[in-house]
Amino acid sequence: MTSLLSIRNVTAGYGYGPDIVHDFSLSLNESEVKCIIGPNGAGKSTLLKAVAGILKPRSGDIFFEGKNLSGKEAYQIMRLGICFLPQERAIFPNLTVAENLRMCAYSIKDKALAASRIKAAIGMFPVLGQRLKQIAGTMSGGQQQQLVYARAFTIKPKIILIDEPSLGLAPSLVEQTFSHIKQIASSGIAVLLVEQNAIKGLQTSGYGVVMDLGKLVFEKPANEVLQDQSLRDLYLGKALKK
Amino acid sequence: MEILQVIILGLCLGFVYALMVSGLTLIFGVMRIVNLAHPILIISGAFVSYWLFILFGLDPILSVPAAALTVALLGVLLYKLIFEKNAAQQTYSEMTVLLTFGTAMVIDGLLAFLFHNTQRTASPAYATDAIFIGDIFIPLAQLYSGMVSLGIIVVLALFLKYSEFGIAIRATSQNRTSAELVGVNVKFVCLISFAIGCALAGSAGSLVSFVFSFFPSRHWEWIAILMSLVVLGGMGSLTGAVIGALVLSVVSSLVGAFYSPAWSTMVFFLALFLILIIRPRGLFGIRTD
Repeated sequence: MTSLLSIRNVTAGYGYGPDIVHDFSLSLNESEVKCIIGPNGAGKSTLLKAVAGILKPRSGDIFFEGKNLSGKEAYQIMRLGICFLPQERAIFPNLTVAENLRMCAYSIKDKALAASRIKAAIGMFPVLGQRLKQIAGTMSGGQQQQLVYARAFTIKPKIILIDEPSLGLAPSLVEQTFSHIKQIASSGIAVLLVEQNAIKGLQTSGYGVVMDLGKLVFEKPANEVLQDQSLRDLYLGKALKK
Repeated sequence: MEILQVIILGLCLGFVYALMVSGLTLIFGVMRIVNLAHPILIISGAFVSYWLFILFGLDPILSVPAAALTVALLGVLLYKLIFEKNAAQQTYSEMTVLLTFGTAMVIDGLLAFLFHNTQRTASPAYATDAIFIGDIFIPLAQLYSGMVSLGIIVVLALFLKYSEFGIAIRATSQNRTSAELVGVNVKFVCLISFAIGCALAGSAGSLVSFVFSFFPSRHWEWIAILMSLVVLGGMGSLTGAVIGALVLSVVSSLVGAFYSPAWSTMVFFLALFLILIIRPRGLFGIRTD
């Protein structure tokens, strides 16, 4: 059986700069949750950008449901069913909450379906329903996070790519964010997560993927990575030694 | 009473300025193109209406759609030829200043070659007429052109506020990548926004053709005026540009009436300098970072 997403020998980098991701391969099956961890500059975010189509890989191929994604624009990849939540600006801060939700559903052609999905998302995050007319950027951090994750339930993608969901968030928001991610995973959407907070990331995931200097170091079930002391010292760093 | 008179005339002209600047601000907001060719596109629209009036006696207000369409098509051509391929360049915004400046010179030269730099005005029957409300008289040309401009601006605002595509345009102007990531075809949105911006220039030209006398090289003066309106309102903010246009037009009329007409154009430039010193991001500017 071919996997849902298959990244094959991808090399990528920015502009005229050096390769950030080297000959990287990884696959993701339906409903699977994998967390990519590794030091800063390992190329984790770059890899997600390449999958989402924001960055064109220099070589290698990415297959989704057997289709080669090379040459496709980011919006086309998104419409196929790969949703990317970047580190920042996953919402439109100067649009109202209602307008943000409409934009979340922009790719759904059937407008009745779009409306019912938006309604369902509001059902899951009632606070958004109370603030439909508010400018999204003026909401609290936690409310903005809910708006970000409402997108997953509005468009119901096959895969969601999440880049550093906990970056810059207050500890209480980190908990909230990971509960949203678990919610998404349990609804059957495959998740490819990049996370600095390795423990949190691995606890949420089925598999841990360690990446360093643009290369795959290894891939193991997440609980094995969490329990292996030598791996913890090597790749999970200080976060675990408190 | 005289002051009220001047304010009303200033407002009528203000709506025309607002329409002139709306396309410029839309194009900057969505694509970060500083379109110095916008005023010459307005003049192109004025020529379309002028010739339709001279040759077929068509009222310039009725030829608004024709002028809008002609200039929009011209805009699409320009966009495909010179902007689309360069959009990924890092110095895109800076580059567009030169590209559009060059374009403005070419179109200016072409129009001057075809029609000469003589002053022209379309003169429909109402152009010399006026209505009186009490002591206040309003020339019909300015009233009509102001009201139609207002109508077009309202339609534009409703479109941007409520339609799905309008929201996509605003989303794109906030962040292209984010828009792409919710499935917006950003390249297509840019093309259509550019066409809409040019259509607005064309319709403004049509409405200007019987209010101002125009000739190809007049666009140099309008570049300066329109840029001061855009900067005053806050680059890329439509509300800001409209309010900026109304305020400056009224102030300029007041200065012209009570001080000296020689100073009325100066108001725009003084406002430009002042706003850059006091509040560089303009009245309604959104921080772009």
